[in-house]
Amino acid sequence: MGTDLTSVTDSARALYDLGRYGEALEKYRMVYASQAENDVLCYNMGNCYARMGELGEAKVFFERALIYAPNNIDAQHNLDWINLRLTDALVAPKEELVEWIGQWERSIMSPEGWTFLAWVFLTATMALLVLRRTKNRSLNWRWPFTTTALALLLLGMSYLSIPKIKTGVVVERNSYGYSEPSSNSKRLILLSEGSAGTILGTNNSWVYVELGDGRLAWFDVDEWESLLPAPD
Amino acid sequence: MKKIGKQLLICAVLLHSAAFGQNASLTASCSKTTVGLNEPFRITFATNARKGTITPPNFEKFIVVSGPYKSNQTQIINGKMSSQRSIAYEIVAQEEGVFTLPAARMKVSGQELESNRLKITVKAGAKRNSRADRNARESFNVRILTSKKSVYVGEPIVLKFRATLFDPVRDLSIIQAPNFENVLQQQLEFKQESKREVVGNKIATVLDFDKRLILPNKPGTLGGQELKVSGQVQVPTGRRDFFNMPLTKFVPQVATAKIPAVKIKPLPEGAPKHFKGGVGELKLVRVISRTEVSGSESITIKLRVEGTGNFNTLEVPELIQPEGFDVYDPKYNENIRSSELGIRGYKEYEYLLVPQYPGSFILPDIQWSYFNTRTERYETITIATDTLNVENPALSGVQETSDLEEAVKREVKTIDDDIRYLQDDNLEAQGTSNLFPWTFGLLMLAGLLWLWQFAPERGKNRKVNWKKEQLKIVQKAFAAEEEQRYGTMLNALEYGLVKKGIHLEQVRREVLENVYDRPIANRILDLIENCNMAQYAPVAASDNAHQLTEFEEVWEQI
Repeated sequence: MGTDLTSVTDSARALYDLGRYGEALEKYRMVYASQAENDVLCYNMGNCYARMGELGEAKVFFERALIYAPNNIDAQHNLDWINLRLTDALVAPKEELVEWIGQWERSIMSPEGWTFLAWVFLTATMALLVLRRTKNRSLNWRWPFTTTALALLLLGMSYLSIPKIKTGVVVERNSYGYSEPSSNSKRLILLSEGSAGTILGTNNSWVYVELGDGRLAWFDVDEWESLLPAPD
Repeated sequence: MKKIGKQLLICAVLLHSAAFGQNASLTASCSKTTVGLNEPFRITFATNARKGTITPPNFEKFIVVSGPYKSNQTQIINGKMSSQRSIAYEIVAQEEGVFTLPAARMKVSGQELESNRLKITVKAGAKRNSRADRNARESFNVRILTSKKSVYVGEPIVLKFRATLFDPVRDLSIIQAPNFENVLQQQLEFKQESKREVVGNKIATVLDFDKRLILPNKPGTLGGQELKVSGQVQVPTGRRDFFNMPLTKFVPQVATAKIPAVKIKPLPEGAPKHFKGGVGELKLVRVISRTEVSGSESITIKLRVEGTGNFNTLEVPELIQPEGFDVYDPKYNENIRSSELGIRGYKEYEYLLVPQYPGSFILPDIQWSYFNTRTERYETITIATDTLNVENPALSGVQETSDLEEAVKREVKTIDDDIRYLQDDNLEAQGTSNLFPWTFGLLMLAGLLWLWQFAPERGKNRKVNWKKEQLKIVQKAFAAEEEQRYGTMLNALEYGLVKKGIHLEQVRREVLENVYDRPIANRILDLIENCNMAQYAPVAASDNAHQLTEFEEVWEQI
C-alpha cells in the first residue's frame, strides 16, 4: 500500500514539474481520501491550486497543512504568498483560546503522539498497581497515583490537540451573504475569494457564517469550504 | 349731591333685580323640526342669564354648516330690565330618520342649567319648494373630477373638487370631505382660479376650489364617498328698497357630490425578487464620489431613487457593503413634491466609506425592480459592479492595534516572488484504527487495578505471608548477629501466638496444650524461656545456630 501511495505521489510530482497541475492535483486527490490529515499532501495540493490560479482553494489547503503541522514553514510561506494576493479577503474571527492551545500542542506533537504518551503512563500505572498488589505491598501508593494523574493529563491534552476549527473559506470568485437562507432574502454583503469566517451552522445548502467584523450572514454552501474536511 | 347718590342706589337695586330677581333658564329652539337631507336649518340656544357660557351639545348626526352666531339683547320696560343671550348654528342632517338633539348646558352661580331636547325629523323629500329655496338650491353645485378611471395599486390619482356657481355664493367651504379607506390622501397646494363658462344656457362661474392626491394601497374600487360643500347663496327676497332696487339675502345652502368610480387594479403577478413596492416611472442612480483613493480620503456613495411614483411607500435599496471599508450609517435625503402629475422627486441614502486596507475592492452590483405604470410591466434596474482602488501603503501601519493586525502583518513581511516547491511526500497507509477504544480499554483496566488495591486479601495468603515475613525478620536478625536478635525472636513468637489467640501474659503449659500438642507446647515454652534468658546473658555462637534452628522448627508448627 505504501508503495502504491508513493508511486502515485511520484507521478503527481512529475506532472507538476511538467506544468500539468490539474492532472497532478487529480493524482493527489486519489491519495487524499485516505491521507486527509497529512500536512505534506495538503501542502502539495495547495501548490497545485495556487499554480492553477484557484487561490481560495489553495488557501484552504495551506491552512489545512498548518492545522496538522503548525511548524510547516513552507506552508506558512505559501499561505502568506496567497494572502498577499487576496488583500480584499476578509479575515476570520480570532480563534478561541482552546483552539490556540490545541495548535500549540500540535506544534509539539500530533494528537496520536499525545495519546501514545498517555498510554505509556497508563501502562506504567498498571504495572505499579500489579506489583504493589502481588509482590511489594509496602510500595508507596503515590507512585501509581502520580502516573495515573499524568496519564489523565496527557489524555486531556491529546483531546485538546484534536483540531476543531470551524473556519470556512470562500473558494469562488465572489460569495453573496444573505439575511436568510434564501437567495430571495436581503443581500447583506459580498465577499471575495479567500475571505474567511466561522461557520456557525448549516441549513440544507446554506451555511451561517460569522465574519471577522462580527457580521452574520447566510452563504451558499457551494461557495465555501471548511478548513477541516468533513468526516466520511 | 344727595339726590345723585339716591338715583345711583335705585339703579343698583334695579340692576340687581334684573340679574337675580328672575329665574335663569336655557332653552333650545330650531327653525324647522322637519327637514330634508342636506337642508340647512338653524338651531338656537337662548338664556336670560347674564353670566355663564352656553356649551352646545354634540350634534352627532348633523353637520355644522355655519356658526356660531352670537347675539345679546337687553331691554328695560317700565323700569324692568330683561336680558337675553343666544347662540345659533346652521346645521344639516346627514341621514334620514328621527333624531333627538341632546341638551345644551351652562353653569350659572354654581347651578347647572340644561336646555330642552329637540326632536328633529329628517326626510329626503321634506324640502320646501318655495321659490327662494328652489332658487337657492339651483344656485350652485359641486362635482368631483378624477384624473384616471383605472389605476394600479400605488399609482396616484388626482381628485379635483369643482363648484359651478350660477348665483353669487360666499363662504364656500367643505363640511365633509370624502373619507377613503386604504388610501393615502394629500391636499395639493394650488391657486384657486375661476372662469366663466356657459352651462346649460346659463352663464356660470366654474371654480376649482380643492385638489387632492390619492395613493391607493389596496386593490378594489374607489367610489361612492360623498363630498358636502356649504355656501351662503345670495337670493332675491322679492321686495325692493327705497331706490327700487331688489332686496337680497344670503341663504345657507349645501351641495353634495359623489366621487365617480375608480378601479384600483392589483399589480400583476410574477414580481421580480428585487421588487420592493416601487410603482411609477422611476430610476435608480448610484453616485460614487471617487473610485480611487489614497491617504486618509473617504468615498461617498449615494443610492437614489428618482422620478415619479409612490415615494411615500417605496424603499430605496440598501448598499451591499464592500470589503475593506468601514461603512458608516447612511444619511437620508429626500425631496418630494406632490402635484397634479403625481408625486415627483427623489429619495436617497448617502453612505460614507473609509478605507481600511490598500487594494482593489469590488463594489457589488445592485438590482432593483419597480412597476412601470406607463409600460404596465415590472422593470429591473441593474447597476453593475465597480472597483474601488485604495492606494495607501501607510494603511498597514494604521492597523497596528486592530484585530486584523496579524493578517496585515503577514502580508507586509518580505515574501519571495513565488511559492515554494513541493515537499517530499512521506505517505504511509493510514489504517482506519481509532485510538479511542484502546485508550478506553486501558483506562478501564487501570481503574480495575485501582479497585483491586482496595479489595481484601485472601486468608491463606495472608497467613503465609505473615509467617514468612516474621521468619525472615528473625533470620535476618540472627544473620546480622544483632544485639536484640532474641528480642526479635521473642516478638515473632508473641506475634504468632497472638494470631492463635494467646497473649504472652497467658502463656502457660495448660493454655498451650489446649492449642498445640504437648511436645510442641513444651518446645515453645523452652524457646520463650531461652529467649528471655539470652537477652540478659551472653550466648555462644553455636547456641545461636541451635536456637534459630529450634525456632524455625517450632515456627513451622505454629
